[in-house]
Amino acid sequence: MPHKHTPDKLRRQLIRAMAAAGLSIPCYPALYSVKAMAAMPASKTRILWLFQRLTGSRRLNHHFIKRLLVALEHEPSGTDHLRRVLNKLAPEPLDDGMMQLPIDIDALDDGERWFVQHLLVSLMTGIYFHEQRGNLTLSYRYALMHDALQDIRPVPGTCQQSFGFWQYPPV
Amino acid sequence: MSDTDVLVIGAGVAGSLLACELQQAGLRVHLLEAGGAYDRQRALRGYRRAWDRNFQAAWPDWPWTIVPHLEEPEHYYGSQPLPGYHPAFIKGEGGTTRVWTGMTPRFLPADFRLHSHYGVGRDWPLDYQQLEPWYVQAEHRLGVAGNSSQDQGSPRSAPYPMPEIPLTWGESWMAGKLKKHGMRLVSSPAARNSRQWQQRPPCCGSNTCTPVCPSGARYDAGVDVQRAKSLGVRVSSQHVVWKLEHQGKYIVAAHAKNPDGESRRFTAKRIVVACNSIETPRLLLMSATETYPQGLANSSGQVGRNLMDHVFLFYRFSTPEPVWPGRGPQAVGHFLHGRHGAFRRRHAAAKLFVSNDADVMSQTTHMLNDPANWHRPVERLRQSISHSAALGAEVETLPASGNRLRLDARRRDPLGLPLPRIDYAISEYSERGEKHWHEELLRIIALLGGTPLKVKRSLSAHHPCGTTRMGDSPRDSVVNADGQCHDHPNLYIVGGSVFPAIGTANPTLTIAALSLRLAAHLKAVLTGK
Repeated sequence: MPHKHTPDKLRRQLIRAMAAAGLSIPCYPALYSVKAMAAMPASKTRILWLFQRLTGSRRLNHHFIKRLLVALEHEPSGTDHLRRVLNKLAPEPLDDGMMQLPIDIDALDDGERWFVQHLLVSLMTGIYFHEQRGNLTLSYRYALMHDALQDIRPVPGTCQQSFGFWQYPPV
Repeated sequence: MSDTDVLVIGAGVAGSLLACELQQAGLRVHLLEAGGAYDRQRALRGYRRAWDRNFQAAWPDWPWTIVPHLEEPEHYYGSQPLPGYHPAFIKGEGGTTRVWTGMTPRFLPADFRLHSHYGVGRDWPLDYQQLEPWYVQAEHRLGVAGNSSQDQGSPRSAPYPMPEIPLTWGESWMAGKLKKHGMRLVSSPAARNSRQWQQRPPCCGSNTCTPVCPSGARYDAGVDVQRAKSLGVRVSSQHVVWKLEHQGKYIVAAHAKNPDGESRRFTAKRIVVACNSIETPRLLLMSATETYPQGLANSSGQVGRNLMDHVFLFYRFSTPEPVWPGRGPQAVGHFLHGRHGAFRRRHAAAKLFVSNDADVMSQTTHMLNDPANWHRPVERLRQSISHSAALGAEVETLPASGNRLRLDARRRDPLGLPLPRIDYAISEYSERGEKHWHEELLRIIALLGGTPLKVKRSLSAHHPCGTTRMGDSPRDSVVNADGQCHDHPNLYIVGGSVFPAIGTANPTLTIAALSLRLAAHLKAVLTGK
């Protein structure tokens, strides 16, 4: 069953979850999107927890995640897939100790594996791959593949550093 | 009588440089281009949206004409035996320099005398010394950064306009490891600013040279198309030239279709075709008449033949310590060995280089194909990319009559014009070279303590050349050393298509030098100066 929350209750839950997850407060306003959450099979906290577990990153940009959830919502089986994967990989109560464990691939059926890979590709590349409808760019700058290297080089296609920085090792 | 002195067809590097030079000399120039005008910011947005961020990813297609796409080259070239030869390019103001990496090595003196020195291939009707002053000018016009005090095999009469682009940190690590084995890895000359140059900023190392430089630090010929417009050149984009019209042996007009398919006739005293090695012979062949049933400029039968390119070898490998690729320009360093030596009697030469394109997108998707990599993929990606590097080789090919472009009457472009088809195979000489340089790259990887991860081979480095070659004799060449067609005194050709032999250098700087040389010739002919 989808969780139903009043905005205030959700706000409190999110603040607690973000504090626990080490997320910054500026992430909060966009996470608080009742409309985007309406069709979701679980709370934003739980979904975010799943994404963090899958990627090993706590640096998920809120606009990026919101766009991903909207894209999933528009998939015929998007929310159903998400519910099944949440039940297996992010069971309640959420246990932060589990965050460090590899996901149990064998516990997933073929459809769930496909969906996990789809989520990972979306989160890592910032592009929601869709063969029929055409790809959707969720985020370029905050794609985790750029985030993985953000402290050593500028996001490709942007000019944030001065000439010749590449001749020195990253700090 | 036409009021246009020179009609230039094709607004890439050759055509736009030529147009500027001639207009500045007081001539009336009209520049025609099949594609449209490009916008850098729009291209950047296109790049960011692209799933496959290849060198064509950022740029729009023009619905009225087509180009060979990397993903679906058969649409343009038709089917070929595997692996197929599919040089890609783009059309539009600035041409394919919109998407190049900007590498500008000169040819070596021996590249012009391949047959005389080594008994293979063909000599140019020019020698290095004759072209050297034009190399200097081309380096100035494009804005080339390089190490003026370093001998890279091509003697210089003037320094580079800008100091060299420094090697990346990873390349310096490689250079240090390989020096004791007698290998020298140095910074390649590149049309990429190492300081402010001609109102363009220094390179910021954004690592997207192809498909789009976000700052304009890397030269593209869009710069010279804009300059041509400001000088008063008439620039007509979105005009696909489909036929040259002759009266007797003189070319009197070019016919071009607009996106609606309506044809207009453009006249000029001199016409220059600057559409490079695929579209130039295609136009000449499409212009066949009863008088010239094999196409214009083709009494030798050489139009479309002698197609050459560089065989492209690419190796990604793991490194024992982090070398952090992907910081800085996509390509900086190349090795000094490989391009020249007595071995050229036996096998092809090659330019060996380091690729600094971390290719994060495809590495990411490749990694995620294996569920074993799904745990903490961000960390895993960081580890794998930081401990990886890439080397490549561009192996020379020889001119061969059987490597040719023809028109395919069955397949048509959106304006109803016949598309090209290609027969292409590499010689045993190049195959021996490919084998040799393959082993050399593996040796270098081993010396660096690396392990090969991914190998890629292509018959094309997207450097097509040779299909309207220059030569002294009208019997076996299409144009003379000035680029003037043997068969048509007022028709000229400039671009890689006139190369009689390809050597190992990336062709663009030599194309630019030939264009400036042709400009001087036409100025002398038309103004008497």
